[in-house]
Formats: sequence, C-alpha cells, structure tokens
Amino acid sequence: MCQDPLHAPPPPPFRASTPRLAAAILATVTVVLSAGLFPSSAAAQTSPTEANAIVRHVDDLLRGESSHGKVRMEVVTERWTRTMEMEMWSLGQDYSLVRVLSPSREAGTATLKVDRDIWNYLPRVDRTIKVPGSGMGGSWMGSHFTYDDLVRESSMVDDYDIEVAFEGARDGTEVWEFALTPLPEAPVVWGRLELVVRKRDRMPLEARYFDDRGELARTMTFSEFRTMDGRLVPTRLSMHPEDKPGERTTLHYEDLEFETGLPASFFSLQRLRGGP
Amino acid sequence: MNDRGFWLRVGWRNLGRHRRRTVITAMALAWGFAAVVLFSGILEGMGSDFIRSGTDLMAGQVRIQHPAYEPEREIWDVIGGDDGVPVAELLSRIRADPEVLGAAPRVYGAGIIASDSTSRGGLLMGIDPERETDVTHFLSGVLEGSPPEEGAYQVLLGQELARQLRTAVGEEVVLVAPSADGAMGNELFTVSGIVRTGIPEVDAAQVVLHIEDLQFLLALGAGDVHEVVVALRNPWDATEVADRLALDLADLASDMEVMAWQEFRPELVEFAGLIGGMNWLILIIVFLMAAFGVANTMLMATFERRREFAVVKALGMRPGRIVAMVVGEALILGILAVLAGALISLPLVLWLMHYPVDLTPIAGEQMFMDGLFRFVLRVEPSWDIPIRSAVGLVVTAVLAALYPALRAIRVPAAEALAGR
Repeated sequence: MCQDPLHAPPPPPFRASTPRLAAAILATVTVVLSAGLFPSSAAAQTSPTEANAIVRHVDDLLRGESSHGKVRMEVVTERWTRTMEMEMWSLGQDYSLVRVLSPSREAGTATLKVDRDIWNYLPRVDRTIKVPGSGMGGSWMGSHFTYDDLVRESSMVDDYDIEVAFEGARDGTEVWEFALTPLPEAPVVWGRLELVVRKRDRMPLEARYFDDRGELARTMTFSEFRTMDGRLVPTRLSMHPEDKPGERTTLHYEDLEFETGLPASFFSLQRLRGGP
Repeated sequence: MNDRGFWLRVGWRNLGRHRRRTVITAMALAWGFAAVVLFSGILEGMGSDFIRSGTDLMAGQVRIQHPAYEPEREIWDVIGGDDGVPVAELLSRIRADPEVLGAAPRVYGAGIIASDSTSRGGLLMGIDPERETDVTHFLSGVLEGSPPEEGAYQVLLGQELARQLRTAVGEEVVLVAPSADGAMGNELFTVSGIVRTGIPEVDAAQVVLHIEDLQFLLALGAGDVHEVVVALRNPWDATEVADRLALDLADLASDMEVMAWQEFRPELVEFAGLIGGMNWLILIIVFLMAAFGVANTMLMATFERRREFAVVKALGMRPGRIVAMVVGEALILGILAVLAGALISLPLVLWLMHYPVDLTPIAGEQMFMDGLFRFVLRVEPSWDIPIRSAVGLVVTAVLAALYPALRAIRVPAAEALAGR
C-alpha cells in the first residue's frame, strides 16, 4: 500500500490498470452461463474459435449485465488488515454504486461510477467529491485497486489476440492456459495477460497481468465457485500485487442477484448520498 | 656577480629601458587580471545565490528522513520508524549546533482536495509555521490571508490550485487522504490563505496544513514526522554539518538519515561544478592572451639585445644566467601587472561585495532549479580567486618568457658582435 498513490512519482506498473477488474469489483459477477453451448470436450485441440468463445465466456462472467449483491472486502498489507462489508449495484460496464455497510466508522461511505467518472460520498463531512483526473491513481477504499482500475473498460476478446498456450492437467485439474497479447491499437496498459480456465466448468482459476517489460505485475486468483441466483460464479477474488509480496485484496461475494432490472437513473448522485 | 638578486636587478633595469612598452604590457596584463578576478567573483556570487535560492525556498540545506522514505514516500516511514521520535528534543538538539540557523518538522501526504464546485489531487504538507520561517522562505510568498493556525483546521493553498478549485480565503474545502491505518481520512478545512512559490508544480498542487491537523487527518501520532528540514549559516558546510548531526542525533532514533543538499539536490551540485568550470575557462582564455602578450614583448626585448647577449656570452656568462635574466624580467613584469591589476580591481570588487547591483529591474526574477533567482551582480568574498589568478598570471608570464630566453642563449656571439 502506497500512502502517496495520487502523486507517487513513477506509478508501479500494477497500479496502471486492470482491464477486467473494474468489472470484477463493481459490476460484480454476472454470468452469461451457457454450459450447454460449450461442451467441455477435452478430446481434441482447442480451435481458435473455441478459444475465443471460452475467453468471452470468462470475460462476460466477470463483467456481467446488471447485478446487486453484498461483498466483503479484505485488505491485507504489511502494516494492517481491514475488512469492509459493502453493498453493490451495477448495470453493464458503465454504472455501478458501492456503499460501505461496516465498519461503522465508515458506514455510508459510497462510490458511484458513471462511465469514466467516479464520485465518493463522505458521510463524516457530508460531501460528495468527484475523483479528479490526477487522483485516479489513488487507492480505492484503501485496497490494492485504484480508481483507474474501476473505470477502465476493455475486452479480453476485442482488445487481445488469444492463443492457447497450454492445454492439459495442472495440479490434477484439466485446464486451458490462454496467452493474451494486446492488439496493436488496443487501449490497454498491460503487455500481456495469462488466463487459466478450468475445463470442467469453464471457471477462471487465475489471471496473470504482465507489464510492458514482460514482468509479472499482479495476479488474480478465483476460487469458491458457487451457484448464486442460478449462476455458477467464483465468489472469492483475490488480487496479489507482485511488488508487495504478502499483500492482497480479497473480495468475497456473499449474496448476488442478477438481471435486477434497475434503470440507469438509479445511479444518481442523490442515490450516492443514500437518498431514494 | 654572485649576489642572488642579480638577475632580478638586471630584469628590473631592463624593464626600465623601455618604460612605455613596459607600462603598456603590464597594463594589458593588469586588466586581464582584474577582469578574471571580477568576473570569477561575480560568477561565484551567482553560484552561491543559486545554491541558496535552490535550497532556501522549500528544500532546506540539510534534511532528516527515514532512510526508506524516498522515493516511495510511504506514509508510515516516519523518522524513527514505528517508534517515532521525540520531535521537540530532536529539534532543540539540531538547533544547538552552532552552524544551524533553524530546523522545522514536516509531515507529508497525498489526497484529493475538493471545493464546492470541483476537486483536484493535492500534495499535503503539514508544517509548524513559526519554525518553518526559520528554515525556508516559501511562506513569504503568501499572497493573501495567512499560514494555517494550530488546531483551526485551516489550509494554505497554492495559487494555481486555488484558482482551479475556484475557491478563496475563508471558504471551505474537503480533504480526503488515505491514512496510516488504511481508512480514508476526510475532514473539512477553511482556506486561510493563498501562496505563490513560483514553482509551477508546487503552486498547482500544494496544500499546506498545520502539522498537527495533518497528523490527525492521516492518523499519525505527534511523534510521527516525515522530515525535518534544517537551514545553515553557510550552505557549503552542509555535508560536514550533516555528518555531525547524524552522530549527535543517533541515540534519538535508529531509522534516521541526515542528508546534505549535495545529496538530495544533485543537480545543484552539477550547477556548482558548471560555475567552477566556467571560472577555469575564463582564467585560461585571459591568460592565454596574456601569455602571447608577454611572449611578444620579451621576444622584442631579446631581439633588441642580441649584441648584449653576444657580449655576455663572449665574456663567459653561463646560459642559465642568461635565461634567469630574461625570465626575471618577465617575473617582475608579471608582479607589477598583478599589483596594478589589484589596484584596478580592488575598488570594483569591494563595491560589488558590499553594494550588489540588482539587475532584477532589467532581467526580472527567474525560476531556476526550484528556486526563485534574482539577478544580482555580487562578488562572493573569497581569497581563492584573486590568489589563484595572481599566481596564474605570474606563472604565465614566466612560462611565456621561456621561449625568448632560449632564443637569447642561442644568439651566435661572433656574428652578433660583428654586427651581422
């Protein structure tokens, strides 16, 4: 955890962005689950079309349409560990709202994202503050995610060239390992991604983010796959920044519902302040 | 023939044979000497002013931090680490050093500052305003209002930051900053004043708080300070004083690093090196000119005296003595020139030393290396430059006389005596 994230002179690479994480946190986990469409045949080599389809599935899983749920965020740093309970709503990639339920000292603190803008509501001073451009590199709620991570929007399928790097058993589990290379004009900050997907149910196990120099910057691990509101999703997401060994931010989804039918107008500054 | 001053006496008499030529050559050298002394002195003065302005504005000449604080600037890397440091004792011990003018504690943070209408990223600096003015000058750039007062939740904003926030003295702003315990510190503050340092990055982002208010916002204790800045009587003593303070303060805290400006502002050191290089360049150019002037004069003098050299050679004078005669003449010429040059330059140097000429009305004030620099013609008091120049000039004169002296001993005695 860097105390000076807003102006830390050269931002460590992991902070620069996480394409999918925005969705992972704020959009919660929505599944366009279609297990039937993709029989997990381990028989033949996976074709490029199939590879694309699998990555798209994972991408959609982590991005979702509309959702509402509760999440417990645990931030572990060298210095302190803290846990927050939060309620979150999302609509597509563009709208999301997160409100802190506990600890009580911070209850009511909320974050609203609309397109590429982020506002925080601070109940202590009863003010709504838009996060300025120069503050987007700052830590979100003390976590290892930055505001930039929350607003960045890109697609694993549309912005990356996908290759099957490995297919077979890893620690006794049949997996695909995809190597994702950014397309030349893609608006992404990563040099390369690696995505490990379990064959059995197409659940992501791990995503590794490499910086421009090809060095591992952060690792996301997915676990505790459970069915929520009729969809199989990873309910535990853990992010490990490579430059802070032993530190992590973990999100536990405790309750999730999908296709909530919330209109875009729900995501308002009034709602951010806790109003109707 | 055996008295030791012989060659000097001969040299002196020889100079007297062509008084006008001697005076002209000596004056040329004297002006060269005066020019070197004056310009080098002014350059040194500028160099010193640059160093001062580069450190006095905000940085200080010596600073104390946790060894790991730079460059990540983690909030908990305070002096003394987790145990903190007895700040009052630390400051009074630093101030006890005779070379120290003042010492001031600081806390830093980064966060978001929001006015009613908009928000910006802000660099938060917590200071003790009274002690800060003993060390740095940036608080003299307060345009309106005043520095933040203790316990009043006030902030002093950089001019450009205040403009961008569309806020003014007396209005409220919110500060949000990640604090040491991982929470989002947030608090309402009143704008107490607007400051202009002249450093664009600072004026566009600096939020100055009272140190206790910032410690509270960041969930730090009273013994948690990120930096102590120290001002010295003479910036050039910084390395020495830093070493001494490191020893003196070692028992107060383990995680502590004392640095001189030469370490944390290396670009200023390069600049000082540049000034030194320019001084040598001036010295070399002027003395090359002097060398040719002396060589020319001495060559003429020896050529005129072909017959004399032939006579003394014929009488059995050893070549070494002939050389000594010619070189002695140049040596006396050089010394005369230095004396004349000192007479010329002394009033100018003294004048610029005590009554610097402020060129600010013509040149304006310039921001240079994070310091506000005023162009002032001022000679840095120093014996180094005149002594170096004087020795340089005399040595140049002597070296320049060597060639004419060698010509003198090669005069073919018989032919010269025969008038051929």
